[in-house]
Amino acid sequence: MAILKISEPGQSPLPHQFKKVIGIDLGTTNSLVAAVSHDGSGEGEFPAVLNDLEGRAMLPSVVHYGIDGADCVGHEAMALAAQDPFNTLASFKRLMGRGIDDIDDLQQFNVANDTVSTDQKKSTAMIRLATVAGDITPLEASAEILKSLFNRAQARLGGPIEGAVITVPAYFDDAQRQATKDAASLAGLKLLRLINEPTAAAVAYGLDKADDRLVVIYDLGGGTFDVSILQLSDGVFEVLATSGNSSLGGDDFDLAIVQWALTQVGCVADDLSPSEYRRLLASARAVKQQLTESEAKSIDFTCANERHQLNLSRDQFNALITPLVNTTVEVCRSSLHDAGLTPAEIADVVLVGGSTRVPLVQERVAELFQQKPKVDVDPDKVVALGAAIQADVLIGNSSNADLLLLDVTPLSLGIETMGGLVEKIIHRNTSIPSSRGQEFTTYKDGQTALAIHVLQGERDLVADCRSLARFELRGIPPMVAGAARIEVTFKVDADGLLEVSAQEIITGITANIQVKPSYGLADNEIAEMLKASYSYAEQDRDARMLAEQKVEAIGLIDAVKAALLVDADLLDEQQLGDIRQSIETLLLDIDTNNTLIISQSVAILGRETESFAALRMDQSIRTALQGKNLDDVVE
Amino acid sequence: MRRKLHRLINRTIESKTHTVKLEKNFFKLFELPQQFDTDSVAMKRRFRVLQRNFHPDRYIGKPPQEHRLAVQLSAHINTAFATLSDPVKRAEHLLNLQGIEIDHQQSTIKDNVFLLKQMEFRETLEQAAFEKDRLALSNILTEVSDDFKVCQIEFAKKIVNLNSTESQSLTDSLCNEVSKMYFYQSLSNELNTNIRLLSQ
Repeated sequence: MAILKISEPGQSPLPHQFKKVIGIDLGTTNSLVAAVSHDGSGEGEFPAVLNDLEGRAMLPSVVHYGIDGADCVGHEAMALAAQDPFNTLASFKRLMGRGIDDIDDLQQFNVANDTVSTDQKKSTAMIRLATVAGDITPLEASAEILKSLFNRAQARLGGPIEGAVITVPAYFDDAQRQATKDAASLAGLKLLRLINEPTAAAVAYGLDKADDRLVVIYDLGGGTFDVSILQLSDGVFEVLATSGNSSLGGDDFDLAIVQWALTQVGCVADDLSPSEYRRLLASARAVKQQLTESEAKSIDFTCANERHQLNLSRDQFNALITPLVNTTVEVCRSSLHDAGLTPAEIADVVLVGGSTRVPLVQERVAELFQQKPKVDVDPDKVVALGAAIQADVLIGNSSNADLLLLDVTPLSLGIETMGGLVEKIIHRNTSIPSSRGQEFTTYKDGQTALAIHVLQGERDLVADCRSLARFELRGIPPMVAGAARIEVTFKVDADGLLEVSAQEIITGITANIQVKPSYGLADNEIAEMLKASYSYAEQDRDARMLAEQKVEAIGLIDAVKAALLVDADLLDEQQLGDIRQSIETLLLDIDTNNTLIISQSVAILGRETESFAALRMDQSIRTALQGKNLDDVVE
Repeated sequence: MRRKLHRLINRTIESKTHTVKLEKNFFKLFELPQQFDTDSVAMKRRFRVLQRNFHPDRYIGKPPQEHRLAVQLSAHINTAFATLSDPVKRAEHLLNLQGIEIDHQQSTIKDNVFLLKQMEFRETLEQAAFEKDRLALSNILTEVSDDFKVCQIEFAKKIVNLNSTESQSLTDSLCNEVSKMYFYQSLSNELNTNIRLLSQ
């Protein structure tokens, strides 16, 4: 669009005035930084990964802590992992935005021997890892990686960096995105955008050059799995559906080998010293990588100082990881279903992430889509390159001004309603930015405040979703139940971050919150959410019905009691006695947790109060006819 | 087109006021005739043009106020596109534009033949799901999809007359069609989910 290229006077983007911006792939295992360089004419644009002084592109996402804080990162830190396991943090991306309750099994996270700080009292706080430098959050460790990449970029590009695009897994929830954004500010980076890793990869491939086509990005990294289905046309990258698992990746392949090796020699993980465990994990990773080329490889390790050597064939390895790879294929299928597409409609399938080098992964993806997946661009670098291109476009350097990324929210967002149920306000796979309001009302007479509990996930019950935030709307004038009109508005910005506000429409009282998440749900629960929303559909429905029935019962009791307080004199002794008896029965029945019994009791009380309601209505009408305002007689 | 968009930006984004005027008529926003049948290709094209101009990524480095308004506009465009792309939401929007509101939870369908059919569909679905009979589910889906299409055609035909005749019975029958569409759409989704679960 021509109008967007018009610059302010004195700000025309002459070649020498290109702003320096970078793209960062903040990975679980490795991180990279890339930038687009421009030649003198301003026409040529060359995205490239920025190497370190020793010519290495990848920075291992590992931080070592000394007494005074982080003393080294990357390769240096990784070299210290076996010798000083407690102070060497790795794979912390898997802990971003997570609380202590989320990680009952530390070994799952490849931070096996990093102890969780013992003085952690609040279970809702973000997890901390104890080091000699004190308790470190994964957010702080991530900031160290970002700082290191930032310094590298500054040295290579020679000058101040004006902004960065950082990539996150598409399936990251609000808490994980917020933690990444916070890490960027902690590192002193000006964050232009968070973009989703598969979307960045699609940009780097430049598949949009062709006419309107559907593309699947299969991204299996060290610790996360994403799949995104995009429609590309003329510079617009429109995500139609996205899904994934934010705790499934190549690390799990390594752990499968570790588990296999320990079982073979009759050991358990606890038999190994922290150093031995780290060494075994490193050997497992090396064997996994070698099995891409070789048919079999030996693995050496010690368990309680006893040496072992085992032989692992590719077939054996494939058998170990088959359940994990099947999970990713199933996620692809369900995502296609969400987009209303069949595998045959997909023009290209692109593999991203180091773990897609595993032959079994390539085979299974080819099988599903009936085509050979693309691996033209280095799967380790493609995300960083895409981020750099997007940064260049955002800051206005690029001549490719038509490039536009339209993404979606990976998980549904909603609020808690009566009975522990979740009312979804923004559904998953909704295009962002998005804004949607929904009206709610008060539940009790005279209620002056409303607690708003914000949740993310696909399930029907609050307990099965991730709690993002809680806040209160206060100062609602006392009214009868159901009279107040409270509009709750959810706004998701282009980074996928949520802001919630609430307003009582009649009085105009407002409350809003930039959602700063509480971190209180088990990690695997997030991963399970989508799958579960299908397979637990029946169980959910039953639970929902019971909860709704209870809400209806309590609401009815409250309404009848309130009416009795005012108008009990309209009833004779017999009627009053019957109603009181039915209330008592219903109260007892609620505790049976039996939907049918409760619904029967509700029906009985409903019938018994029918004539009472009619009497009250008659009285209201009479009062109104006598010139009194109806509002005067409403309590 | 460009000149027109430029004017629109001048009036909204670059104005000093703190709110933008959002076009509430999604057909107008998308430059489509206000009718049930839509040209999905033209709609998609217009969607991309609008987002290219108002997506917040186009306002990075501009004053934060402009960026904030762009988020609002871009979200509005997304809502409009989602509404127009979905037959049930589109039908409702057409009625809303005529001042007719539908409450799916409250409205009852006054069509006994349909109510009977609805019950039959439900029973067959439950039976087939219970017996894990994929073929039966697919057959119901085909039938439901056909009925859904018939409803849409009926609605498209009837809504044309809404402007000329002010008739309560026409309004009722349009609302009826939307309620039916809503039912068929939910049932299709349920059937699809069941079929997908069985194919795992």
